[in-house]
Amino acid sequence: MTNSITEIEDAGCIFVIGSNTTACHPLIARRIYRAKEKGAKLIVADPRNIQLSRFADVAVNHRLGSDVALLNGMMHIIIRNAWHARDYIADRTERFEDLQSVVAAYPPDKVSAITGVSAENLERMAKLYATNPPAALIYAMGITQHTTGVDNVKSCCNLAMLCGNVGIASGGVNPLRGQNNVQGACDMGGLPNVFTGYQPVSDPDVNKKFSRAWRKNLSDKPGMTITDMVPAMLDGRLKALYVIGENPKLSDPDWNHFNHALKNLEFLVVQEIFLSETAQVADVVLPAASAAEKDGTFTNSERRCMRIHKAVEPVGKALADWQIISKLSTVMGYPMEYNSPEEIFDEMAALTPKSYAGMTYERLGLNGLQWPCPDREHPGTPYLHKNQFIQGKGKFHGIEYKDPAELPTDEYPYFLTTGRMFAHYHTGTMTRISPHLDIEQRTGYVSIHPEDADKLAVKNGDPLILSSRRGEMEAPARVTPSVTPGTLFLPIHFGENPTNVLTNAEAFDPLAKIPEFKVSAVNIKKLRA
Amino acid sequence: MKNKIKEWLKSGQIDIFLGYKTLQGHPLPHAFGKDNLEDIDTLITGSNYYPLEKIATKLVAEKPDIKIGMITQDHSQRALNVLYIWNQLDPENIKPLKGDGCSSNLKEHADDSHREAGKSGQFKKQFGMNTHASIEEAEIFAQQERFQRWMYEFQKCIKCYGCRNICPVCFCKQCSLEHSNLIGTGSLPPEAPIYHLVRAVHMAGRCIDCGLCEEACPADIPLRLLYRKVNAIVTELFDYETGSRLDQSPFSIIGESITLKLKPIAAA
Amino acid sequence: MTIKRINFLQELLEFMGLGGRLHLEWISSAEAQKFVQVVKEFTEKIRHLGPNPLRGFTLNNLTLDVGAAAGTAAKTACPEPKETVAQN
Repeated sequence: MTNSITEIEDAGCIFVIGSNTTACHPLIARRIYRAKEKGAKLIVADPRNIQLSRFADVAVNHRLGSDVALLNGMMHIIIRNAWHARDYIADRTERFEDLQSVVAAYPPDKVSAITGVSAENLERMAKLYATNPPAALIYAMGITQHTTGVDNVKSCCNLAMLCGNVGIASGGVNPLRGQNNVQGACDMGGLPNVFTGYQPVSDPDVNKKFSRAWRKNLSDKPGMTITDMVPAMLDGRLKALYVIGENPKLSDPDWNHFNHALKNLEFLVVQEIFLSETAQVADVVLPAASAAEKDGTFTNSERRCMRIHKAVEPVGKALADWQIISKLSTVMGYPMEYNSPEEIFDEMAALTPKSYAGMTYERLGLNGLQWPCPDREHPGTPYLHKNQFIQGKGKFHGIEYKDPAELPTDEYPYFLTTGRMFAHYHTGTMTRISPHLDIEQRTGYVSIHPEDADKLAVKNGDPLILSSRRGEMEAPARVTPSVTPGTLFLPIHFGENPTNVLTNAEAFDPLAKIPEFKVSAVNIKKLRA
Repeated sequence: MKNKIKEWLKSGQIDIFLGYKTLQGHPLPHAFGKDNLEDIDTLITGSNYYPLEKIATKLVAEKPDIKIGMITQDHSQRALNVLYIWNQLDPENIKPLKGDGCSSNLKEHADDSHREAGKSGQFKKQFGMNTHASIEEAEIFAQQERFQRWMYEFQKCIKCYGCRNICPVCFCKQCSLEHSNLIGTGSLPPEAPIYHLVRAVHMAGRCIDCGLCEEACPADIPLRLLYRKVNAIVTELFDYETGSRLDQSPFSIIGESITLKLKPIAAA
Repeated sequence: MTIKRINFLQELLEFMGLGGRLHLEWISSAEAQKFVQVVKEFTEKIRHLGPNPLRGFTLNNLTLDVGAAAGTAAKTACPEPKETVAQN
């Protein structure tokens, strides 16, 4: 997030796109409720009718994968009405002409045809967003899990910059991260192309710095993303896989394809707190300590690095992840002799001058610190790009709309989108063994609109077979107007109704390599006639 | 106070003492034991309020004979009374120690200074229920509008069960809120208004107006107002002020001479 | 006791804005006339109260009705508040 969670309360307008916030980020939803109750305007754009839609000043269901067109359409209207922040654009941004020339070709009638959103609602959305500063833009996986994920994100940034909303309190572009510490994992360099703090492995100076610090010549070639690994497993370039805290058997697209690749591996190690679907087929399972059983830090969505404290001792022989990795590395010939996570943190902070250098465990205290925090006196940064963009000028991108990889056909006439439901988390490794959460939702289901259900004579609870070009799976029907006609929704948590049998491994963003979990074309039929 | 606790522990009058201690900067509930009497010196007092009574209930469920000392405030004394009445705790085994801090007595809203009074912005006042409203103020609205205002509030619910989980007098082994035949599962918001009505009904003769539920609610639903009305009806109908005395709850008595008349079918 | 409990519920429902929709009456199996009369009266009353306001209720209808003046009326098709839920 460019801005902080509490700032949302003081926004003049909140635009939520591709985020089912009350279900997936409930404590951020709390801030949205509070902002709304204090008088903020709320715009919700989501292919489904979500809980937040009920509280929105404008709620629209744009067609799956039409985000770029929707955002371009809003910007078209904003520029036409001269609601854009001309001084801000002149002082702080560049390449505005690129944007202008592209969005000029997205008049409301054309956008309406692509997105299914009426021209009146487009006008209202544009006006509310542009004329109620500061406006906060909030998105989640509904924006990113597309073949056009990067385009979608850039379009969100375009819109925010167009109205001068980046670099001010309570505004900004705010992607809600999917895990408590996914931001921290990325900051630590848990990506194939960077060291800590997004320092590129291919940068000679950076590479030299880390090689010296770690007394080892480090590769300057980026590694593989998981999307690259699967084909490499299939053609034998990748022989062993070490999975830490992930359950790709359920979370990766195209179940059949992925399992075929998994079988091709010579060696699979899984480090987990529970025996997940992936751990069940591993050659070696390393028992890891849970969050409550270890010390360290988490860095959350708003870039806030906070201490976590061990509450209970690890069960059995489980160890904290850092201990397992250190032991493994030592056995493999590179001794890692850290005494505590604090030593690792200090080493990381020293090597990460721009964002973490000013942080120590002591300074993190109760409330943590938000990066960038470059020196010991720095109070942390509640919102980014104040006065000036970090990279100098904010760059506009002219983005053309592209269709998603799959659109409905005669053979596969329905749109399918996937996501979370409120009671469970990801592949359910942790939540499905909680009795209270299990009571909420015991099985997978497929949400289908009453009109579609009527056409197929499907009643609530009837088992349906869903098929895509990849495979087929079964799930009971949930007849609900929360989806629109022609679109189905599947929650991702249930191993016995694996959503990823249907989703597409071939469709991913060319840059970010994120799979298009949010759009597939499927067919449905009743299991029993 | 600390010496008294040490004495109680040493003499075996109590096995543990429930109070508060600062851990990593957070004031948290803590059980002090007789094995480490110096630990008592770290006891803090003040306006912290967690449902220690609920912790006591859970301890007793595991070890029925355990003797517990604990810091109490006015509302926690009421909570203890309710738990005695419902046979969840045995007054013989509980030694309350009056602490300072809050002294709420079914009175004004959020009288504990550390507690953030629920926010009621203009939109909430216009379409929802003002958290600070009195029962009378909430009853100004006509039926249809009143219903819409409550529904506005209930539809914000994210079904976190925070209200139940923090409640010092929620002790049932099986909770009606989790009974799928009573309240549908698996969707947000939970079925409104039945989810909140079921909880409200179960608060009759139980709620001691501590305000923890409302404080815990991430959606700022004015739960305290709703349960205050529940208390007011209970007082009116049963002449019973929940938690104030050790009389049996009117809801657990079977048979009583009828003094009330059936209500006629009033014209709508 | 039943009277008190029902009174309690009646008052609670009234506080929620659902007053007048709950009624208690003792009728013996020998009192066919009374049964008919009570059912008639109550049916009449319920008809007068109109359909259950829960049916088709959405917050957006509310903001449409009351909020039109405040200019917050822009709405697209909105969901029913109550999802039909598959029981396991």
